[in-house]
Amino acid sequence: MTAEQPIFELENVSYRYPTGTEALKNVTMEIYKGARVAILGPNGGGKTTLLEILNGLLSASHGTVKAMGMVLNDATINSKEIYAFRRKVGFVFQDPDIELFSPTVYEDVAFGPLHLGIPAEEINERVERALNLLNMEELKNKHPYNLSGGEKRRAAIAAVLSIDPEVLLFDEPTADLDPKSRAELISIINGLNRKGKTIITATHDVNAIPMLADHVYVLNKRVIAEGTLQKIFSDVELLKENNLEVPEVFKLFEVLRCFGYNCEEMPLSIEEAIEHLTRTVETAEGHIHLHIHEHTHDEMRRLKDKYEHH
Amino acid sequence: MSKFVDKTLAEMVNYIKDAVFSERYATFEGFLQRIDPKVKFISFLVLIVATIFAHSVYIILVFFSASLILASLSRIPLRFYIPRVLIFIPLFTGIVALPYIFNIFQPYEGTPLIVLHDFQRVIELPLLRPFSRIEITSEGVFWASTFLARVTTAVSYAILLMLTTRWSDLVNTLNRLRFPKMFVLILGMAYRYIFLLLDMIAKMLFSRKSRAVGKESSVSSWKLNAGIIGALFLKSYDMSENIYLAMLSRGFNGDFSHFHADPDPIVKDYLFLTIILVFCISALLVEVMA
Repeated sequence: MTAEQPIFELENVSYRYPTGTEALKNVTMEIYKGARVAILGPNGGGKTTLLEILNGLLSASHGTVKAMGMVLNDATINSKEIYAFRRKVGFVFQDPDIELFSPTVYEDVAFGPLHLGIPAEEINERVERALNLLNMEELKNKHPYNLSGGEKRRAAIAAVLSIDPEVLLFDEPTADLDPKSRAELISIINGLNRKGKTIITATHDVNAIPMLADHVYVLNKRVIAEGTLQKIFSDVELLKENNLEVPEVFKLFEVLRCFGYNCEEMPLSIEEAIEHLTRTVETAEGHIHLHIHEHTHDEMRRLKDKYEHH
Repeated sequence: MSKFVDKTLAEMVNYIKDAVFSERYATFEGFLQRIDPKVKFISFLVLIVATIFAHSVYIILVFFSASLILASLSRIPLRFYIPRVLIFIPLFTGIVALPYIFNIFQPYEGTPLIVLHDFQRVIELPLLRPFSRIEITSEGVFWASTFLARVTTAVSYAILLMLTTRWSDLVNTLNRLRFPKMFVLILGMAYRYIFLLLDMIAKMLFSRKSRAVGKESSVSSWKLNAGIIGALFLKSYDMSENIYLAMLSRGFNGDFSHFHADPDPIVKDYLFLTIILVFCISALLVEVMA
């Protein structure tokens, strides 16, 4: 899926708020076309600021930002060229009430295409397509205030999808959603990725990351770590230092390991767990062997200590 | 006192949510609801202008009855509609019109109806005509009641338009009638966010109530209310910044366009406008001839 040239290239990017607070410090990253990237970080870790920089809403105080073949700086983000850029990169804000500012869902979904110079005859078609994709046709004439949390989130995504961007930036997409809406949303995001869209998700929901990303940047003002999910989640200490943790499935398999279950690579999601267990059962003649040995209790104690946040 | 403030705020929040901004009646299958919003807007403008031009109380009453008939045809319960028309705005208008029933505020000598006080000498005050008595004049009463009736009727049409039209249609109508774009945008967003801010106030009031133990003094209650207003201001300021970013992110460049798929008016809409025009013109003609 990945091409040679990264579509986002950040080099030593720093950002300081007008109040003087430092939000980002020397952030360097590369994101490739079609990738699923997660930006994992604690509250106040600069995730939203980073997304705003990637969307050309803010310009970096220091460092260079190259995105979709364009250098994003103070001059370019205030020039006319930025409109072409914004047609390629869509940003779904964390709070759908911020995203949905029009009197009806339909008008909101039409806002992007209308302001990005898409021909009038195409707008209606795009709006219908976006609404259809997110199962929102019946709600199109509703006032955004009257939607449920999950519906608001879907409407916000439709509002960005109608622009048909190549890259989608999601800010905490799973926050405040019930389990059903959360699962639906994750499948929608992955569907978009299968259609070739690059997905960049900022989140602290570690349980959602295995379903939403293949590559992770841990961000706490600086890039603390970067790599595959396995690499990131195997360093529990580092995550703990940054108010983060590993997915619950990962923890469960560590518990199983204390009981003698043999696994090298830890499953991170239910799907991976099923796959892992199936493989183990098949190679062990239909059995999984768990037992309590002399060190089990010590190991369990160590494990509990490891995951305790102080 | 604090209870009064609490109750007033909570009720205001609910009132605005329920009555002013509810689209409960706008989605009913009634007569006015089926009229094209653009045509309806113009028709009501005609009705309001005609009401303002009418001088006779009888003609104004005819206009007011027409608004009641239109309301009941549109399935708006009159016991909901009439209090909204009669209480709020005429109350304030009444306060404005009240001084004019007294002779001392009138430019000409009127026919006395009730003499309130006789000073037995001429009194001269700045800005007022010299007077020796304070009296209520029949011209004053007539003028004030006509004024009140006219305002009430005009308001009744404005409320009827609001009740039978969805806000988004109204905003779109203003846009189609070439009202300034910024005005349309602000109106649309004001409507969108007033709910959210009202909800925020309601939640803050609840959270305060849930933590309030014992009786509060009125001073501390006022201080807390001021705190709520302050918090709301900061929150809405923060929100406005983020909304602006969200708009920028989707291509906003300061020039707002409005997109609203709405059908063009059909024969029945034009027929409605024609009937309204004929009604207004004939009512005013009757007045002129009488």
